[in-house]
Amino acid sequence: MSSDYIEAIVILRDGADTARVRAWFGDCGFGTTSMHAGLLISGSESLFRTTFGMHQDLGQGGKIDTQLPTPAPVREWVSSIVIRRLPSLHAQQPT
Amino acid sequence: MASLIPQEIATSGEAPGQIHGYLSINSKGGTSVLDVESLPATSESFHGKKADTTAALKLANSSGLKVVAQSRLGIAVVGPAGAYEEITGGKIVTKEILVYAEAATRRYVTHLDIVGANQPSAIGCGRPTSNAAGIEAVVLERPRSPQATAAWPAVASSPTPQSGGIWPSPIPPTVPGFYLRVPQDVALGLGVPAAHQQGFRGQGVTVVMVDTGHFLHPFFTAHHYQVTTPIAVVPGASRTSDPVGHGTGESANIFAAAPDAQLQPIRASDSSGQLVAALGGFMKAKELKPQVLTNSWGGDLPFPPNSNTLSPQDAAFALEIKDAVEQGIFVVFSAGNGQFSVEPQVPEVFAAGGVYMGSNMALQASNYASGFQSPFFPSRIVPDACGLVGLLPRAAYIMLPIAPDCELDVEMSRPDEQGNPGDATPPNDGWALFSGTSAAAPQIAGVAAILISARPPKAAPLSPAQIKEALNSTCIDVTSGHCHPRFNNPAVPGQDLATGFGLVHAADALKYAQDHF
Repeated sequence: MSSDYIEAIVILRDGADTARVRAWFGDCGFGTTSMHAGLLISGSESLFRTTFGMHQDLGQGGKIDTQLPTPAPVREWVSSIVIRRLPSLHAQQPT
Repeated sequence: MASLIPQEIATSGEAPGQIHGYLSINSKGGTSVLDVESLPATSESFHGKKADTTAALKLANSSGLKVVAQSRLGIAVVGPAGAYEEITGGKIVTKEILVYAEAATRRYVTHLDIVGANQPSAIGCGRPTSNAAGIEAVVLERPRSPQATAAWPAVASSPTPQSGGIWPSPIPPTVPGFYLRVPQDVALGLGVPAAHQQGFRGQGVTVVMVDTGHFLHPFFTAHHYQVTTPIAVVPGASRTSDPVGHGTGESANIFAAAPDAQLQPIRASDSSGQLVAALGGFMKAKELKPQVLTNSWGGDLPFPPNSNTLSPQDAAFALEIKDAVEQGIFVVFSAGNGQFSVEPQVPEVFAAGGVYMGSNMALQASNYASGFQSPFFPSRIVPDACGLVGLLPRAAYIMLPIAPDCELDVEMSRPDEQGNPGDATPPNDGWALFSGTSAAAPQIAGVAAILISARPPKAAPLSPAQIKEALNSTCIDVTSGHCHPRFNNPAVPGQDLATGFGLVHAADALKYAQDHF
């Protein structure tokens, strides 16, 4: 079952203007949390579709990482944006 | 009246957006309904004067309450918590109260109360401020259950709840076969009793657990375990439910080792129970700066991996984990149940694997648990050491408390897709047999809490590296069995790729920490 809530890691280039990248995603409506090597962004599926493309594979519930296209306004500073594979609970075997 | 479990528990759950309530208009007779000791023959002395009724209606409207209906005595209203707080000057809080519910059993039901200066002790009642003209009392709607014959879930194998009993029961069911019970059997297997006898039970230690949520099972309240209301990361996710049961059940393993620790659950799952906010949950946990942070989840990559270099996104998360440890947080990740996860490989993390203890306390490597040499971090072996974990095919090993009807309650009660039998518990009794390295991580988190709680008040806190050294140096070596077939490493004398240093022993680790640090 897919979820409406998605989080993705934004990997920044060396010397990136972190504050501007964070502000840009924040202005778009994403939740933002600074990481040592980038930014954690979160939001609804519709927000992700609005920002990254209506037909973009968002990899929800997926077992592999899903790369998103980098929006033009932050391309100068962002190296990649990835929705990380969904973790599994370790009471169960991998399916 | 004496009770085996607390009658009332204060929580910090969120109030609903719209709350139904009642504004009692000033009584003509001069006695407030808040002070009435017995009902008079007629209600007339409690009727409101016209001027007060008009003022009360005006007050309701100006405060943002919508009038549902009115009588000579009062006004039924609905509106946000803030409106009631404005009228009373108090604060609306949630409380779990043990009440008679379905089938005449008792269970915890969430109530709203108004607390603060001058507020009455009666649940759900509030005294208005002097500025609140026209009314003498505010009463919040209480949860009510239909009084018709109780409809109990029609499941053939359901136990019949006994009248007056507590639902779900704090006492685990008895099923055929060998399994462990919490807290006693798990504590025994981890060498915990001798540490408890010295008075070290995890007191003063906060353990944060990022998982699927936490249901307030009477098991926890009956044992007087301290569970803080969960923090939900996903917007709209309930802070008091656990649709899977994983976070609730596995957290009982913490208390098996550290009954006096404080648990702060972080719910990282959505309404379907998927762990969609694991990263956000971990980041939130770091912000809280607990002494111990336990995680019973992880991703899965091909093994061996296509590259010995972490992807940028895995490296970014690994850095966050490393940073948490550098801040003094003892971080535990489960090794996996055949999964090959990045998280437990981070060298500073304590990777929790699995050892199976049989009915005669013989030990062997759990073939349900992952064990491998990390291809990403030189000389890193996962696991560091182990907790108690069951065996293939289902690791149905520890009887754990969960929300009735949750995913694990139902799933574990049934045969799996390969036809392996269920756990012989009903699908809606609030108990299930399961484990996995998901159980090992909170067990080890609990043992770490014991070590931390034993630190003299003026001594420097134990560092995560010191805790790790104490745990790894005092394990019971496990020399038989293999880890999960995906890795198929044997347990041999000394450190190995199946069980690391072996099974953690709390009392010996405590002595090591006391002697060395």
